[in-house]
Amino acid sequence: MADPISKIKRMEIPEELIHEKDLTEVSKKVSENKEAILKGIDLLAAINESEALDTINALVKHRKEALENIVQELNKPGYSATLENLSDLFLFLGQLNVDELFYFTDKLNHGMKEARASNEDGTSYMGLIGALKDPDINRSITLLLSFLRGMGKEL
Amino acid sequence: MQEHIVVTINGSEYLAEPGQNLLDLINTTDEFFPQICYNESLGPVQTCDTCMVEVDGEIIRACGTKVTTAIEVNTVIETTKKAQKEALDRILENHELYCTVCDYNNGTCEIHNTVAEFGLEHQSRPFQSKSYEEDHSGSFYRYDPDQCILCGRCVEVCQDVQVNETLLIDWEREQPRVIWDNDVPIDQSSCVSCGQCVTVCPCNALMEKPMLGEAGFMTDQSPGLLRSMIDLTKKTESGYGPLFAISDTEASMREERIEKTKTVCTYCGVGCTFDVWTKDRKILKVEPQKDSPANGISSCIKGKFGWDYVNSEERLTQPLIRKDDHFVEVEWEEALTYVAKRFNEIKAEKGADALGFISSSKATNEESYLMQKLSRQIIGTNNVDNCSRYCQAPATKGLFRTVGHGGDSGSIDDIAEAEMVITIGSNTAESHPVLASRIKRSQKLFGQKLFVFDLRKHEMGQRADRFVQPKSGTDLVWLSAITKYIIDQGLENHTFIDKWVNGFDEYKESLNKFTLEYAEELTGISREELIEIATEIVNVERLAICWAMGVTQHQLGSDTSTAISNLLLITGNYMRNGTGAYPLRGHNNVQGCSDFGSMPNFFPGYEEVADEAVRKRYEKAWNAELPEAPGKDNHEMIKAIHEGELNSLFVIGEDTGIVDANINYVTAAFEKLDFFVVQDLFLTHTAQYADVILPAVPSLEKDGTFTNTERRIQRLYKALEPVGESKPDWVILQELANALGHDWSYFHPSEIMDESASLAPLFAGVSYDLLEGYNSLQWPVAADGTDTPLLFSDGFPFEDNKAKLYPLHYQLMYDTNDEYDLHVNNGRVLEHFHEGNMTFKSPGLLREMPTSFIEISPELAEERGIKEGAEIKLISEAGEATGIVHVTDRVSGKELYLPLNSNGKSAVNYLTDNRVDKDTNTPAYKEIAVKMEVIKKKGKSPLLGHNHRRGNRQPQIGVLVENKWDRKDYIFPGNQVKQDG
Repeated sequence: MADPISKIKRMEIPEELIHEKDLTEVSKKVSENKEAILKGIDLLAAINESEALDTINALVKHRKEALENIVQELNKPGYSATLENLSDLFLFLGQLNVDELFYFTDKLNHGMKEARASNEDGTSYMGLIGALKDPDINRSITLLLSFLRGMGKEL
Repeated sequence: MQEHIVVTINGSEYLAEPGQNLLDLINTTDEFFPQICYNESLGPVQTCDTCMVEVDGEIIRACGTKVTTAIEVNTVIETTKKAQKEALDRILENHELYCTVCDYNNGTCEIHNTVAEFGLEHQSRPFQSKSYEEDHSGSFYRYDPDQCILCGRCVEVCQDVQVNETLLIDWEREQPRVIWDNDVPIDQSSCVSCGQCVTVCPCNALMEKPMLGEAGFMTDQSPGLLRSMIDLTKKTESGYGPLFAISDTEASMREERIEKTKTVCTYCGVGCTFDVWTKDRKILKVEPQKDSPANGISSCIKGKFGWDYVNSEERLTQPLIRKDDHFVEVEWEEALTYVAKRFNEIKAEKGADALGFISSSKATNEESYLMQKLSRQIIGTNNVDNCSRYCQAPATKGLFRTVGHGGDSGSIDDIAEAEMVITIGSNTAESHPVLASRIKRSQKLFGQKLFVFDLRKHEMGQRADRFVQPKSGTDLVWLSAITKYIIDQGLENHTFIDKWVNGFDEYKESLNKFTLEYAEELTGISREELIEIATEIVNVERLAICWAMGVTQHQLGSDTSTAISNLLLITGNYMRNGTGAYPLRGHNNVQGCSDFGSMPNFFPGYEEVADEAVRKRYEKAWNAELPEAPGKDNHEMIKAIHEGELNSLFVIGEDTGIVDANINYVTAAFEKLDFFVVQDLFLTHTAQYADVILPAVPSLEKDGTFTNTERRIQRLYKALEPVGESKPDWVILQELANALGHDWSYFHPSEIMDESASLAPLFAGVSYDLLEGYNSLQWPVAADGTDTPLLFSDGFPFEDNKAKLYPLHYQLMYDTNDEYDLHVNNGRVLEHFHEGNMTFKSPGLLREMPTSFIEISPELAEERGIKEGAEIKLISEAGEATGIVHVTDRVSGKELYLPLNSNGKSAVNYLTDNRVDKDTNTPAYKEIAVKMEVIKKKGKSPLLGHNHRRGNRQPQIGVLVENKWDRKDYIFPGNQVKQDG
């Protein structure tokens, strides 16, 4: 004989037992991933040393406000030009012929090195004309002239 | 042999079938070709104009072109590219690309993918808001007009696939948009929330609500911030390239935390399959696939949106044992040891047949198999049954008598292909919504004739080419009278009968009684109409008859099912596609639960327990002596409890105490049991009587297979972990078997299927490998894995390969009388499932239909002086139920309709009695005579204002794209390109 009933007495699992079960689960995972966890601790320590951990912590907790502030700020007209520049700059970089640029910058670097080493105080007008006879200077001038010609064609 | 047409596409030659859609042909070339509005499952809707192609020098839409002659096609020359770009530009004026912060950015956005593949870097014209508000009014999905590209897929699917005819695009207004009914909010419309519009939407214009703010990593933002982020995205990302780079990365990150798992729906017997998207335990959406065998892209409100019960707080999470006036949560070991001990004690004391087992048609095939194995191998009784006893056993019986297999003759495709469909006692649009849509589509678009025989003018009745209301319980009479008339006129299919059917003469003889006059008198269908129906039946090539509980749940349920099959045999409507008998199975696995042996007289695969050779096979495999005599069915078990012959009952996933007929009698039996075990998700009405309750899991938390109404076996995969300590039924059964001293050791349900396949010839070739993903098998499955989508193509499974005509008699068994003067019909509603143990846990479904109600006809309301919202008491000989009145002309005269979804005081089974089908013991749920007492004359309508039944359908074919083309501001992109030079 069984009447219908609907009351349930929930199993009361002692907190310690849940605690113990959770700990077992965690320690199993720790043991399985020992190396990654140790490295993770090193990483955390490094971030903490640089005092960034507090910052990150605060930022994550307030991410919604942070995102809102940043996005709204960036949307102000003042930033508009910068943002557009940013992407334009990105595109600009893409168009540069890097190989040729290397050729150019290599020469430029060499010139700068010589310039730093130079003790000369000044150059007279005649000295300038005379300098054209120096094959190194002449090659540089020719290179610059060719660059100016090439650029002019595109203007 | 069919001739092919040579089509040159971009210089290469391809062979096209005559009449093939050009876009389909282009898609076989594997080259990228834009086609945003095109969806294989819908066919061409011709709205987006992106599939611009040059054919013999002229630019046209590929999707709107059929290949009829040899043509030269170019998809890549500059003019077509320009025209395609123009079309894409128009789309981007309508749709803002903010993919990274869009919940639809899951790799399948068709706008995103097309723009990316096309290589479009910038749009020529800016996005323009349409200035319409988003519509969040519905329970399950929202519409964002600003993101809508007006492709019309949603309209196409609503008008011509679901055929609910709610959505349209108003092309007339200045700024067109999708509208619901005659432009009302979603909630106020006739929308049945099947969700198919959302499934086919190519972008985020229509979204499932649980997806919003959940799918993406950065999509859960307040509207203002979201707007700012969209603006910012556009500033920093100067072209679509960088935008897509970021959004694609984000999309692939989503795959890390959103799981997509294939599953099979757990509601009705149609067997819809889909991917369910889960994020942790959250169910984000259900996505039917074009490869879903039974449903394609279709779904209904419950399958698409009715999954909340899985995460219900009311789920049982720990085994329970009755102690005095309450249940105590215990550990599994304690519960199972206790059950094993009590089973053993009762068996030792009173014999194995003092125990009974009831399987669940919600559980898997493997679980049905294990339940009957537990019953037979371990306990040693054939007292095992399932809920098909409550619904479909009579249909199975009728088919076994005549054609030898108890299942649908073909597939849902065959029903769709039939020239004429007859439904009898089937509220198909609410009970099997996705299957009903196939019929509605064939009727609407392809000229299929639909004849509906029902007491109640439900949606199918309203749509029918012929709607007939025979008097309750007289279907056998008109069916036999029509069959007799056909034979009398010499219109039967002689060739078919001669070759394939036995017993013609005897059967013909048995029909003598069923004259047109007799039928007219009993059924109320006029002689003329019977003749017309008979004539129309013999004039069609392919007839399919679908029936459901309106036939089976009568005292002559088996005989009426037999009469249907007789008619099909006489007219030769078996053995061919588009013909046959289709008993529409009610539960997801009501077919499979019987198939896999939870029947008192059958082993799996419908082999008799009384057959010695079969029994020996199982005895050898199971290493046990098995009982020979058939056991008790559900109905007999309840009776045996009352008689003190059955003392222990084990019920899995079945709320017997509410779904069985005459529940006062059933629950009284529960109270008499010595020991009662219930295995379920919830503390159901039935479980309240239990001594032990074992917490099981729903389909989403386990692996296994279900078999749908088409005899189609389909796999479900585990999408979620079980809640708390709950376990899959098969695991519990195995642990119980082992607690009873056995050594079952299945590691996966596939091993259970392998065992069953090795023993039951019907499933010989069934294996999980063949059922991978969306693959399926329709039984019988031969050892080599060949399945049988169409039954009987080589004959019937009797000795001489011939079917049998089965003579029938008729005697009117039920009628109303002077005292009990009203007839109560009962059945399903779209929004809920049965007693509501699952659907009442869904806030959305409850919002659609919070309470049950009693439908009464306007004439009866007037006669009794009651109005909408009145409260009435119905009294039958067995009991009484009270409920709130909804006055509707879906019912007529003295017929009432009571949805079976109420588990409170309106429960229909307080009214039903112990009368059963004489051949199968299926309760005659549909034969209730009652009298009515008025408690309150009027009140608040139980049908809320936003219920879809109050909507206002707007039928049309497709999206009416011509109206778009006729607009003054529309220029065909091909012409635009020419104009611009």
